[in-house]
Amino acid sequence: MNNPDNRQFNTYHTLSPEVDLNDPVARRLKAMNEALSNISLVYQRLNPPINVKPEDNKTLFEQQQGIANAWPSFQVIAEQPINDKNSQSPKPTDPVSLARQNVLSVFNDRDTPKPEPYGQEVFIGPNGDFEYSKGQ
Amino acid sequence: MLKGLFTTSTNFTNKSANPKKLSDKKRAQKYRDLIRNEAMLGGQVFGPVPNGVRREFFCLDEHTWVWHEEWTDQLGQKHVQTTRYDVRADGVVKCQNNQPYVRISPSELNNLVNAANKYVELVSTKIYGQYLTNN
Repeated sequence: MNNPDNRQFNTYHTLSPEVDLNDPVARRLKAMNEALSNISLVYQRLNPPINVKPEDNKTLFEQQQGIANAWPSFQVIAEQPINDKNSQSPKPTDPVSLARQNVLSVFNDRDTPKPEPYGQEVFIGPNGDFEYSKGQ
Repeated sequence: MLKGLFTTSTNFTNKSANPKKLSDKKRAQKYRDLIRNEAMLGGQVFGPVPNGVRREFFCLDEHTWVWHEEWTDQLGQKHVQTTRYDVRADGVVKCQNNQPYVRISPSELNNLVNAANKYVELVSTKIYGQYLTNN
């Protein structure tokens, strides 16, 4: 009880099968259990776990994916291949994801002309990349 | 003697009568009696009750918890404070002595959740033990 993050909610009680729900006792137990469940849900919603406990069988990336999966906007970003124009995956719809995608696509799109450094000669290198001559 | 929000009119017994034979009125009466018993037991959740203080804590329904307290100060003046906690999807609000609702602080929510857990544990054991099975 002292550590709320490790609390065990008393949701293990169940009504005996033979109890009739017309019985005031059964109705009372049902109301009480639902009340505890409701307040527990609100508490957990307002107090999400902050520290991710290390899990031996999971890499850090997998643990972070677990957090991302619980957060829809992060999940969209993680699943969306930003530069794959043939991708059929759904487009992000929230403004933050859209803005982020647009910014990243500008920086990563090879078709986008790159700014020409002042005083340097630009040519295409053996890898097809832009290369610049060393300045004087 | 101080009279609480609920006064015990009958002694609760675990030997429930056949519910099909109870009229609606008697069922409602029994339901209220159950809450009265829970309220008295729930007052013990917070530790020993000081002399001259009547404390009751109970679950009113699926979304409401009530803390009722009565005491008499040194001047002999009687005080009554009833706090009603309403559990909503986005948080918990409280209303004291019919004042406007205010959202409770995180620490108060923590205390309330602890109290609710203890309450269910206590009531389940002391009043409804024979109706419950553990998974």
